[in-house]
Amino acid sequence: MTSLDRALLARLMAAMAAGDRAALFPFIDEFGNRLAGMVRAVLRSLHRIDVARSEHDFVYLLQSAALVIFDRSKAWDPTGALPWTWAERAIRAEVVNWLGHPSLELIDNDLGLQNDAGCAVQADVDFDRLAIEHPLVRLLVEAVRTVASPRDVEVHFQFQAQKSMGDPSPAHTVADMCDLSPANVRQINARVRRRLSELAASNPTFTALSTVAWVEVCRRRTSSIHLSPRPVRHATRVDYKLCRKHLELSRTTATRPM
Amino acid sequence: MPETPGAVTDDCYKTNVTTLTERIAIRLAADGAEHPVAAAVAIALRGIGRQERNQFAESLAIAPADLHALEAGTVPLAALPKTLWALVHETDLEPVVLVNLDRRLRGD
Repeated sequence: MTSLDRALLARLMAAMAAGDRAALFPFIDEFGNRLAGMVRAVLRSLHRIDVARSEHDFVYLLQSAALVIFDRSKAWDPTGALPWTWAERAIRAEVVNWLGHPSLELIDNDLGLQNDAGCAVQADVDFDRLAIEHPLVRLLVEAVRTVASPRDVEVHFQFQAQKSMGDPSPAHTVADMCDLSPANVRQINARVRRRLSELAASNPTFTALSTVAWVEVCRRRTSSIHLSPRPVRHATRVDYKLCRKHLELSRTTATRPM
Repeated sequence: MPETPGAVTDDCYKTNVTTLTERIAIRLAADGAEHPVAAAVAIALRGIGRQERNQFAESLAIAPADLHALEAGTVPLAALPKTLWALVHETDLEPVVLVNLDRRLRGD
């Protein structure tokens, strides 16, 4: 590569700064090899050196680099860096703009799988369906419907489902779903749990619920003010993460004889 | 060895002048030039010949003001001086491509 003719470069840059587009032709003739090196380096840094192998595309990008320099030529300082080094970021942006964003073909089946993965706002746990297969869930659903209004039933189950699926702020999620404030949701949930605890303690039909984790925790919290004749040694946890996937009830501890 | 567009040599880079002329024409059209392709052709021929405006006008045997009008895009492609068309055929510019672009930019 021959040495750079700084005087010629300064003259051509001055012509471009004056708006003379004709200077682009000798500019590329004389300094195109330098521009090519810059464009190639940008493509390499973007892992798209394959583009340089297409003569048509590479010529286009090199001309784009020259046009980028033309557009900025008024601001170039002849005593500073070489134009293609000085305009490197702008040239890179031009190349990136031409390449476009990486993309993958959208496949409907993949989209379906992603939706199944559970990023939807509303928990899709169907308690009625679970109740058909699992007696304890059936008892729980019946108990909740006994002690709470239809709206509170919905809020309570959604809250518990969101919580069991790892939602960091279930009250906010359910509040958005049900057009309530998060504080309301927490109050409704606490009220239903308290009533469930009372029901489990007072009605033999629902005694088994005293071993369900969320009822049991509430019972312990309220034990000082509510009668609870039997201390609960083991809690049965209704794991809705597993329920959601396999519709199975997961018992983390051995079931205590009723 | 014949030089091909885009070939890098030790001392010069021979680009596709037709593509560059088209891109200049498109920019001129965006700037509102009435006949951007004719203007781009005049600019390209002067650039390829590495001539100043007065020198180029003299070589074409036209007045500098006429060359200025040409490069400003006020003259249609069909009305370009014959001396300019003669230069087109001496370079790598592809007239058919440029005429086609002119038609497209005029919406024909």
